[in-house]
Amino acid sequence: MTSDLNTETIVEMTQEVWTALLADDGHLRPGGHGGGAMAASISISGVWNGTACLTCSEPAARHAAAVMFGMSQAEITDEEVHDAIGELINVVGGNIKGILPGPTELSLPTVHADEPFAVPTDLELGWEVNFTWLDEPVGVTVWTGQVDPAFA
Amino acid sequence: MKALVVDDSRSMRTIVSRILRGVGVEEIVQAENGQEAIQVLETGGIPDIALVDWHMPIMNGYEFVCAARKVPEWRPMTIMMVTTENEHGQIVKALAAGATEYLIKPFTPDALVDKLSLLGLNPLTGALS
Repeated sequence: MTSDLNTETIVEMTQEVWTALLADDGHLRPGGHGGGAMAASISISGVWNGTACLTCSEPAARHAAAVMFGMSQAEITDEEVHDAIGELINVVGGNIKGILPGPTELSLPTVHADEPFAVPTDLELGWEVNFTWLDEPVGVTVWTGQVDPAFA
Repeated sequence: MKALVVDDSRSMRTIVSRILRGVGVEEIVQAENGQEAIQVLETGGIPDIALVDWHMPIMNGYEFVCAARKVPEWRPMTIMMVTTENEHGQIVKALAAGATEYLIKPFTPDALVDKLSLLGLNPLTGALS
């Protein structure tokens, strides 16, 4: 029930998002150790259930926000950083949803600003893809859950 | 030309607005959900085009399309969905409700300009023909 979702497609989709929204030309590379203090997640529910989480370092998030808002990193506020990583996981999550069996619904993104992303106990790790972007860690993790009985 | 950009993400509203300004769109108004967009239409005049996200709190983009198309005075407004929502059934539903065009995120600036050109935007003047 996971269609074409795999590590390779997650890499391709994330790089596509970086290219489109951050005008990145190949600097987001698979590898590294992931991690980072910033996290944003989004849930997919329906025929397939799960959560996608974007993690990155604070400098990576701030740089992304600066590009998206067209401002210098010094001008960017914490609120703008949170908005930016929320939109990045929104688009990554939407693309993940697009290759899953449907129908499914996408939640609004949640930015985990004050405390780390807590994995819901009913989900298990599906894929964890680490990147480096301009020497900073970026990661996309997909957690999968049980199919809602209403859709089984 | 006047455009209304509706998205709960301020970064995405900024990106879309920047692209619109780049093709000469002179007046850009922003709203962060469908309800706020309705208020803009009620008080600020009718834009030539509204670029609308789907997934937003309070009133989502689909609900906005349905509400906007019920008002005869607003019918000349072109509505382009700009969204991560990519299920075929949902796209058909939005178009059936009155959306004029549909662009799936992520998109490049060129992709948005191409869609605008299909709708008659002159990228040199920012005017809709």
